[in-house]
Amino acid sequence: MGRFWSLLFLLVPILGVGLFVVAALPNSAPLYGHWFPEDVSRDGFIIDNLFNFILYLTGAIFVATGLLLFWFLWKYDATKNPEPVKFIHGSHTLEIVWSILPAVTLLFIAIYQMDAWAAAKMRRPIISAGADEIEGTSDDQLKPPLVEITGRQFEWRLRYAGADQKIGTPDDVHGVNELHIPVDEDIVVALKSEDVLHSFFLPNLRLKQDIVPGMKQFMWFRATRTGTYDIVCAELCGWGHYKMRGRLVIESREDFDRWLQAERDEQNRVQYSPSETDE
Amino acid sequence: MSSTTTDSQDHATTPARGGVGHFIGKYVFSRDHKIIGIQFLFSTLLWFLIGGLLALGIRWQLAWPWSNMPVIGNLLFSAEGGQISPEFYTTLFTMHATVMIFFVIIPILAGAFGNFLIPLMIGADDMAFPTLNMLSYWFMWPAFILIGMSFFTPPYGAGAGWTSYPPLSAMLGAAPGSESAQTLWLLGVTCVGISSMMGSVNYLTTILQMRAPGMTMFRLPLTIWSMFITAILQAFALPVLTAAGFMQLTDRMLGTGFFLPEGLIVNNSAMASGGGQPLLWQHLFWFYSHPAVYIMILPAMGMVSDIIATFSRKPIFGYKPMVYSISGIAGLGFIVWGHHMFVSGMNPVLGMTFMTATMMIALPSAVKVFNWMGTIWGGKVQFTTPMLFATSFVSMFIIGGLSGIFMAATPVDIFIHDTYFIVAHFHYVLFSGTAMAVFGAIYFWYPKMFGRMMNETAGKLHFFLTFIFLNGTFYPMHILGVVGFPRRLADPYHYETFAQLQPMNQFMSMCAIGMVATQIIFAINIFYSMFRGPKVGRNPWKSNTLEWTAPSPPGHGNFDFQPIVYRGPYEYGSPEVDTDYYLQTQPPPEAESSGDGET
Amino acid sequence: MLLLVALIAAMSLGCSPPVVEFRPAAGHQLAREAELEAQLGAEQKENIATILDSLFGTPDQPHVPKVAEVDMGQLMNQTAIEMAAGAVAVDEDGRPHGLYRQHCAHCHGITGDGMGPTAEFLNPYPRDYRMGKFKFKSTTTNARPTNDDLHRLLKHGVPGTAMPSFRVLPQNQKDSLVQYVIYLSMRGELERLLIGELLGAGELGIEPPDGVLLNLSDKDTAEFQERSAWVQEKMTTIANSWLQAQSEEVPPPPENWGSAESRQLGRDLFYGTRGGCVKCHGNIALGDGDNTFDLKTPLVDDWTKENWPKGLDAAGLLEREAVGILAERPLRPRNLRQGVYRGGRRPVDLYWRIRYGISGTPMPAAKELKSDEIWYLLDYVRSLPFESISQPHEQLRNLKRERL
Repeated sequence: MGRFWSLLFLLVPILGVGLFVVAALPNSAPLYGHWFPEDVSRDGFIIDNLFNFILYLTGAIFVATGLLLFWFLWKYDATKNPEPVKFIHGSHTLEIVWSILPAVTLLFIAIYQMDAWAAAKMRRPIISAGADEIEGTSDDQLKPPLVEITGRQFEWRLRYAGADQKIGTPDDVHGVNELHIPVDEDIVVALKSEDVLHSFFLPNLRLKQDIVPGMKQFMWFRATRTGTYDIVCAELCGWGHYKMRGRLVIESREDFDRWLQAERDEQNRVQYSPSETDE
Repeated sequence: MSSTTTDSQDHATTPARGGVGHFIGKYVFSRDHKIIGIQFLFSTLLWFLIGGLLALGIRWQLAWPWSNMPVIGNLLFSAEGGQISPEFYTTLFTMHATVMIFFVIIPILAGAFGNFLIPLMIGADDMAFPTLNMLSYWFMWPAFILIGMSFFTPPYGAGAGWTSYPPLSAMLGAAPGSESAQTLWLLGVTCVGISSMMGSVNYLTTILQMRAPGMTMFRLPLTIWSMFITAILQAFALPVLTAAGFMQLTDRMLGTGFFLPEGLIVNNSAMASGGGQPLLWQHLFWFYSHPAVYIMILPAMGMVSDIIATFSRKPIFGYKPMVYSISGIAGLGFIVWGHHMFVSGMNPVLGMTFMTATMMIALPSAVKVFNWMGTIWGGKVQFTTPMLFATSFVSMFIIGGLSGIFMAATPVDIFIHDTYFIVAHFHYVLFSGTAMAVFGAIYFWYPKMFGRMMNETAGKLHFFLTFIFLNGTFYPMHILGVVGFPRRLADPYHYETFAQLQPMNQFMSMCAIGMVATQIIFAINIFYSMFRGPKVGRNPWKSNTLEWTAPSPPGHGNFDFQPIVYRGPYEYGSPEVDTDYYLQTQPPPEAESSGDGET
Repeated sequence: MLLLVALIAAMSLGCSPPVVEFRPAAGHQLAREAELEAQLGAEQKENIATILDSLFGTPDQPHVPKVAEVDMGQLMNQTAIEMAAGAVAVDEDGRPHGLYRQHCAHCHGITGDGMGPTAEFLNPYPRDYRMGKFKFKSTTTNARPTNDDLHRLLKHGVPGTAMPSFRVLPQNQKDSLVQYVIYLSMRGELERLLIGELLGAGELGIEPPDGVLLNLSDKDTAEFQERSAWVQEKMTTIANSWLQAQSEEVPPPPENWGSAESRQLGRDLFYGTRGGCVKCHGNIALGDGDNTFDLKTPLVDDWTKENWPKGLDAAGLLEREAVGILAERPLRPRNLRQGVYRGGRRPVDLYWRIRYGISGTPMPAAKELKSDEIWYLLDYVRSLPFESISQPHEQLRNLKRERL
């Protein structure tokens, strides 16, 4: 029976790696669409690459330990192994080796990614570096947000800055659930919550930020391809958490301006006659 | 202290004489650590069943959203044709996690196995504080009743997640499950906390003060080391959760504003509170709950070490490094809580500090895995049921541990936070890891608890089916996480990004149903063997540690001789003796030739 | 062993799904029974259900009712309501079914009664379609909403409530849901008429508790023909009220609209006697006018008024709770300083709200105001959220140091 169990444990690295390989290969039915969603941002590849790097590293460790485990179980099966037990309490050398090596590797991974983290969460786009001409100081002129997204049970309320570039004034354009963004521009969005925690998740831009009531938060990105994508809420916000689906529309600047103007006109509609139809 | 029993040694198996009064005196009011341990064991196994059924509800909804949910749909939602409501789904996942964490894993490791094994393995006749021990079990019952009551309040339970983040949990109108059910939840969890604290105090004192002569700290079995370190973790971390729980209670009921900022409009009412910060709860909660996850794995690791050494017939590879690793995991465990909060809105600088600490915590875990493999290498492996479960712990923990590295990487966590990648990770460490270790421990120590062996064939069948089904249920969750499939969504398929993932979810749900059904074999085995299993002597597994020198099951006072310890717990295959095991209490050959070795 | 048997027995409970049925209009029935001091008999209730089923079908198998002299195709078609009705599923062609149950039923109820499982947790309660009254529309006060009105509700949701925006649903699915809502509303309206008729309040001279409206085993009698014709006549009226719903014209605003002067004129109207707004909306428009403090006759909407008539004793309260009627809540006039406009924030939307009131609530139609006056009024109302006293948190924030 020992052989059978050893082989069962061998299946773990084999099938484990197998599933990942099949899922990651493009166009592989039946697991088509079971890997990263399309990345349409300038910086998303950093996250994808980091993930893949860790995947290869851990994959190698997974395979190595899985094979070794199988091998030890197979070889040292009591019913098949006639040799006496190796009466050994450990190996100081091995302990050092397999402490130092993982430690160094892990530290390397940690430090290697700090820049990506800072870029995503700490370096907000600026219009100018201010009087001191140094970026990252307090006199930088920050890029104002294009739109304020308020998470609310259970929708995304949008408020685009009007001609005055300020959000919170009467010329703002209001919307709900359908976020339009111009492509190939550095965009800053302001995030707010009206009631409970939400989380603004754009899978195709590899972005996520929990929205905390009482805090004004910002997210920034640059989209590189047009198209329609999902907005997902990624923090439990009540029974309608699953319903908080938004639509992200990335379009050219001209299309965006045209859309915004149409929304503004509709929002300011002062006439209606029965011959028209809405929608 | 020497044992004093002169009449029947086997109180645990003697049929109750004298009717109900005797039964109550013997079982309900027992202060014997073994009885208390078994009380914990059966209570937690019952809640395991409940938690598992709740999980099946989740899996059903994810496989066939809005379809007629068996049993529970007909019972509670017959007007809608058995289709559950969205708030019921929030209750399902909240209560599944709450039950599994607070009523199953933590009490079964510390309350059941800790209680049963600690005095036996260190050579004591009972815990340092037997009455406190009895109370620690009793305090679970208010928790059971409170949480049980919450199942009957609308919408059938608390619904703010087991993490209970405010403002959702702290404002009564914010969620259907945030009304009285949430209050009951908070009170229930507090009772569990009190029970755990009592246990911690007991275990620490017992291990430090009541070891048998010759049992130095570095001769303790790793099970005891892990219980010891776990008790320290409990003692330091729990008060923070209790305090946070009270703060949330007062926010809900007394109008305080610890976690509630001003200006909130919930369910169309402006909230009259302010000055609070939702992130404060997250910090306090995870300050406890991160060490809690180590509380939920370290005892399992300890028990796995004992089982693997026993069935490899070989000493543990690197005993002291193993002890240091346990301590390292526990120590580091206190400074990594922020990795649950990378995208929470806390200062991003903290993301870097917590990332570094979190990466480092993978190191002692890796050292342990290597040492387990080193233990198996060069041994004579006996593929008994406990050994199969213990080995699968190692194999599955590798997966769970490695998947943790992805989420430790802060930029990657931006994408996989709150997706099924996280769910995969913690189910691998908690179910494929800890629960498998618990199953193995039950098979291993069952003969000591009940004096009979569990059926080995049924055990192997239980292992095989559970192993297959759990991997089928949880491994694909990694893939789902890579797609970005979010947690806690009652109906994820109306998103374009996730619409194609339903078949995989259906596969996982079918495996989950198989997995829960398989546990029927286990349950039957437990109960049947208790009455019809083959009786065994003191040491059916030929293991070294002290509990195997006591009768099976031990009577009050545990040992019928004073244990004296001469060596460490893992001297299997020692050249000093002919047998391939070498009891800790067996005097060395020179002393034996000059007498009977007893003081 | 016993446990195993119990487990298997419990699991078999799931093998046959319960049949979903429309829930009878208990609230309306209780209200009319109290009013007419009569009681519906069991046979009568069954008769109502039978008539409705034969005209409208069941929640799983609906059909477009045949109405005399009316082309129902303008209101709904069979494919669309089949797509909306039934259990959530996808057929072989990939077409979804059960849209109503997937998106709407847990709040609005299978019957469209606003009493789904989630409803008790929401404030305000979801709409009960069965009165045929809808709050936010472009038609006159007591008219039905147009198709466009309902589409607009689906597209934008109702801000400030739990009704979400269904913008991202495909158009044909939204069409199907709108038609199903009309279907449920018509069914509800007919049910109300039948209840009244069977309680003796009507023209056919039927007496409770035994008088049956249509004896379906006796279809050849003259009475049957006459009464069928009566039912058809009622259906025609209901259907026509839907078909004839038309958005009301909004005349153009005056020349100086949008200026400070216009807002000043609006302000005078708001606080003056011609507008009469402050009685409900309050002296500083916070929704806390004097009318909200009247405990004897609290402001309630029509649905609450019917479900919870004044002077109910304990038995009456229990009766209503037993049939699942949601707890009574007073209606609060809008706090106009929050910038939340449930029926839409466009000037035309606000014009319709003021000019035609909000159907089903004490918000009256401003018949006496001229159209220019309405324009000035809504200009003032629109400016309210931007006054500094409307944004205390912004003021506080500006006092604090600016962070990242």
